Amino acid sequence: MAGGSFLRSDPADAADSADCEPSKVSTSDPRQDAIPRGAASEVAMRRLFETHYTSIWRLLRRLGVPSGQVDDAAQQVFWVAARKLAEIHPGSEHAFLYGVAIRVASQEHRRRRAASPTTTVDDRAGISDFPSPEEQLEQRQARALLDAVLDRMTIELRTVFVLCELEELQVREAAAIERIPIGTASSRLRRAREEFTAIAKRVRATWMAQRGLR
Amino acid sequence: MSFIDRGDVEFERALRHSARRDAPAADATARAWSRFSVRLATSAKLESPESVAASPAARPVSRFRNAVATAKWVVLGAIGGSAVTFALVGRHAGPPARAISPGLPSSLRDPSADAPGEAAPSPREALPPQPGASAASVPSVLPSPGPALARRAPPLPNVPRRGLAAPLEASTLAAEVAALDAARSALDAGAPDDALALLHRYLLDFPKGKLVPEAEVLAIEACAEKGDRLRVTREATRFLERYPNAPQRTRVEQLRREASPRQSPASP
Repeated sequence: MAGGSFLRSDPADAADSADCEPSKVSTSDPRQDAIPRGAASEVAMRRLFETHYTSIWRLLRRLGVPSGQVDDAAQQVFWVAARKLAEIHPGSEHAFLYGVAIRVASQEHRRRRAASPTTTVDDRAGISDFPSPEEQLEQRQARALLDAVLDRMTIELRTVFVLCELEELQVREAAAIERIPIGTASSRLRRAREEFTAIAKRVRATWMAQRGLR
Repeated sequence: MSFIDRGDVEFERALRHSARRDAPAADATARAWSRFSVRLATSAKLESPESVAASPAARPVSRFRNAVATAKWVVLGAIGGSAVTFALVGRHAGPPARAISPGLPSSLRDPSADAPGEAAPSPREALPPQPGASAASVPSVLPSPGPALARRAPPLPNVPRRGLAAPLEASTLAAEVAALDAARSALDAGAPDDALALLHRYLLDFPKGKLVPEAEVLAIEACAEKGDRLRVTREATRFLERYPNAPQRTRVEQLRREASPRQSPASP
């Protein structure tokens, strides 16, 4: 694992072993669902939850998990963490959770792509659904546009962009979480920045043109 | 002037900036934790039911697996016990030899092996009496789970023989207790909807369960927690009619009193 020695457990394996659909993460398989029990574990789990839930929720949103499914996806991330609690090095909880969240989001992304394989990149797609500036706060509108831009990026570039540019992690941290060499992460980040700028320009132009037509 | 009108650079900056302020609703974390803790509690209960029928060394298994395994051993025990009995009676032999490993959980032992010299009951004889043919006929005064479990907890030699169905019965009761504990945990965690879902599941799993009245009381409490006073009143009344001597009566009456609309002091 590239730079990932701080992780006692591999979040990729952890996330992959769990079914992506939270409702399907059942208790049917005791091996998969064996979670540490006891008051200490529950306290630790609760602390983990309260400390990281917001950032995991935000990361999942930025990685394209639909708003209606973010909570389910976050539950799955923490479920994996609960099962692997004893294997997470102290101090690396955030990285572990990020790693799991990325895998969960990737699986969700793949599933959505499989469900609608004919989806094509269209700069106008989704924009017409945005509420007008008069009706919505600027922040909310900006987030909707941000998601529209991110949706047009590939998942690899999107992930490294979200981690480094939006979550403000260092490249080496993103590389460790993604289990890729630092050079690859740097390269992806450079391409992601370029792509983000280009798509943002297109989205803005489309938005302006659409508004001019109204 | 919107951020969209301020040029590409400002537009891009605004998009990046917007992500940093994004967060779930203020109480989302608490709600999510509540949901998660219910799931943890449920999982823990199902993984490791505090089964009084199982030995401490027994491996935690799911309720379903436990029931299947127990049923399998009970059936095998019944067949084996009957065969041994017939053979011994036919040959006027001495007491049957103990063939069961002492390390086996009590739920998996053949009770006939614990009564040397006493003929094992035939499966037909061993069938438990059927006091609870329906939920309505469940005894209104239920033994509280604690003492009931404690009575069955001691090692097998001290347990009075109750027939082959006893281990299965104990296992089922333990599963019932675990299911209700999970619902209680949900309720305590402030998640009445989850508690109601768990209770619904309990009633599906154990339609003739011995703890059905307790489940109904928990459901009333969950409704009260939700503020559904109409339903609390209706269900409480129904409960008191159905179980007039239930030990939960006081609790239910209290819930009904709290849910009933208060009399206005000005009203005649």
